[in-house]
Amino acid sequence: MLKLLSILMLLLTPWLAEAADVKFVSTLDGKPLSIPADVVDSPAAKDFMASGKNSYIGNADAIKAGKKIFQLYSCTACHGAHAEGAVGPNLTDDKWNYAKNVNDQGIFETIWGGTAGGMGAKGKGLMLPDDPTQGLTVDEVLKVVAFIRSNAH
Amino acid sequence: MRTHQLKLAVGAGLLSLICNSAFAEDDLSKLMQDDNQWASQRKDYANTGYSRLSQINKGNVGHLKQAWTFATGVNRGHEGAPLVVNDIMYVHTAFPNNVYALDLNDNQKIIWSYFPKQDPSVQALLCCDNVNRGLGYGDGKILLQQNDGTLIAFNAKDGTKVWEVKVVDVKKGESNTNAPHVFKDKVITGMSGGEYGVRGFITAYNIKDGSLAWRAYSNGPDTDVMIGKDFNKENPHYSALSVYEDVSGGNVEGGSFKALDKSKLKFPEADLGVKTWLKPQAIKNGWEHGGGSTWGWYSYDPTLNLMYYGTGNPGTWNPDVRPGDNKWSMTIFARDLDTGAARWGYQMTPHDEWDYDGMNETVLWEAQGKKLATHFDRNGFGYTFDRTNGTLIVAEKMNKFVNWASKIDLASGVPQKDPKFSTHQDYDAKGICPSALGVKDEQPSAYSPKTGMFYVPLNHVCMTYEPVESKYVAGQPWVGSTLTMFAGPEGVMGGFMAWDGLKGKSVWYNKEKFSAWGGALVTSSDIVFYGTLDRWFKAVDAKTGKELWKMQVGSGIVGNAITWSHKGKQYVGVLSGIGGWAGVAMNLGLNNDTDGLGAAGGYRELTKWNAAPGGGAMNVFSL
Repeated sequence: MLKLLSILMLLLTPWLAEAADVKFVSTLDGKPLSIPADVVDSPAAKDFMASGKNSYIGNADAIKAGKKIFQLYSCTACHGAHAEGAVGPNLTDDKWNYAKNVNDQGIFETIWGGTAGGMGAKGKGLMLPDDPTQGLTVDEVLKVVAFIRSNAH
Repeated sequence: MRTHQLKLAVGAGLLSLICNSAFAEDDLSKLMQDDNQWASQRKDYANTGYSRLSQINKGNVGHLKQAWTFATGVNRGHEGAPLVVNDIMYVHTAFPNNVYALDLNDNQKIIWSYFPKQDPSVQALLCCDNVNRGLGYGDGKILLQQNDGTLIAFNAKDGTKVWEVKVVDVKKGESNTNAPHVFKDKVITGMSGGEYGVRGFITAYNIKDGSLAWRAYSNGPDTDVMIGKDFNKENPHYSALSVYEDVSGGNVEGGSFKALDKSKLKFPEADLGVKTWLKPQAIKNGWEHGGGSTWGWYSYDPTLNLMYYGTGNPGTWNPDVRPGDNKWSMTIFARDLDTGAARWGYQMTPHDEWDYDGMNETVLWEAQGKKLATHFDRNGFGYTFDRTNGTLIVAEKMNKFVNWASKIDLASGVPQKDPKFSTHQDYDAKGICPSALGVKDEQPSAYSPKTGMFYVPLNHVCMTYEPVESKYVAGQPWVGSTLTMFAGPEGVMGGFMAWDGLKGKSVWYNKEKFSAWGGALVTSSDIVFYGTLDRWFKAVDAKTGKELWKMQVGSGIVGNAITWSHKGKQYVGVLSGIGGWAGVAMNLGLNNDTDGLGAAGGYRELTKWNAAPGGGAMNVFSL
């Protein structure tokens, strides 16, 4: 019965079925997040989908790449050059507008799907709904998170 | 009739410096000449912030007391000022841009109010706090420019909506923070979004019905920029193809900062709004996302029928990806009010490398029989022009700490940049003064025809600046630089000065602990009023700068001081409610030194003076 139910759920929510073992929900409204399988683009991304763990944390190359992506997408505009906050919140201290951002799954969900506080979705396909080619892949978001965490104090 | 009157006035030499006598039959012109009213954001078409009221004078200003206050119920930065028209005060707020009409004849009872329903996500587009710089008045209508681009005309008496139009497209990252300005029969409104890759423009609507009169872009072909046939005819070198050597390679190749002298300039050229955006660019046709937003205060000379305004920074902040002068960003334009045709345009910071957004106000005045215009730019220079044709008369540093350029060559109009402070990608340029906030930002100066001096609120902030690669995505931030800010060499973050517009020199200068982020008011009794971020509302002597009076209000002041009189009594007032770029970091609870582009560090102590977020209120004082 349980199995039947989960198959039914898989049919109803194919994006979850494709991508995730962990259940990812929107910070905006708590509904399931759309993460198509084709944007789960690296071993680290696949691992994250399955475990909710970001294996890039502390990885110097990933942090460096994450900084570039952070700048490329003008995250600096709101959060400052080192994610220390500007017109948007500081991401390096222990104060969070959304408590779940303290763990990597939570902050991923916030970046991917956006918030009601003013940040738009940054996940591929969600960032610009009428242009699905825009936005970050799962791997890119994980690198950005690694960069953000590297600035924490 | 108007022409006749105009000739008569000119013939009789009666044209006041305010220059609105020609349309004395026009309702707004009458109101602007009546010092009992405050019918326009900067008091008059000329943007002087000057009132002839003198009941409050140096002898009694020390006795000013709070008359009444009005809490707006909205937190965050309250820029601009209320209007006072026919015994009604019209108060606006930061987002969601509520409006209240207060009855001055009945204890400030609310006559009507308006609560816009705006999508809260528009706040994410407002780069530097969700401010609104106030309402406009004309033709019996109150004009509100909402942050989401909706421009609304209300019946001033009862608040019924007369018409509304949509000015900007928020999907492209466009938004509005400016006050609508009413000039004659037109409502002029600009737009914000220089950090979103917008294509800047200014728009004129007919005040009767909200129909579009004209829209002029800041970049693109001459037809879009509405460049007229006599454009820059007295100063054709303002229309040069390039004013620096080796612009194609950008700063990376060691070029783009060596100024050409006038003999080497190639001019006049057409379509500079396209041709000065050279390859390679971050995106195809960089001018299409070339910024040049127009969120400041505008002025108008009815006798010349020219309106004046400044355009903002080019997009993106990384200069390497937009080699060339990037016209017509950073430009003061004079346009025919009726047709929109540009009469002259002078670019203050060609090929901007520092975000010295040129949108600050231009003040119109007269001296030695000349029609002048003075502008205190973010780039740290105070400019005086012949406003009839744009000829540059004075361009001097407002403070000696300005270091990105050694001087402005008056013959060519070109700044002589110091390569030490030029910026390029992946190079962290240090010690640049002023910071991106400018020596002065949006906080408007005032001009007194009595003292002949300008009164200028200042920022004393320097920065590091590192351009980085950034990707343009419609509606998303497109910044392309990281920067930090810190107090200037004098060790304070701000100041306030009197300035001689013809000599290009400061007459007196007071240090301020924080940036003076509110606009100035000067009266015929030679008193200057302005507010500070640490909650003081001050009166100083216009001739000496000596402090005459101060009172602390509920939150830091980023609003502009105003005065009016009611039933024979003079009042002064100012909106409080900390915010804007200086206050936004504090409003968001940032408190590390480097937070908020360094603003939280530099302005760190603001948290010791202000609640966060700051609550908005109108503060009114009288004897």
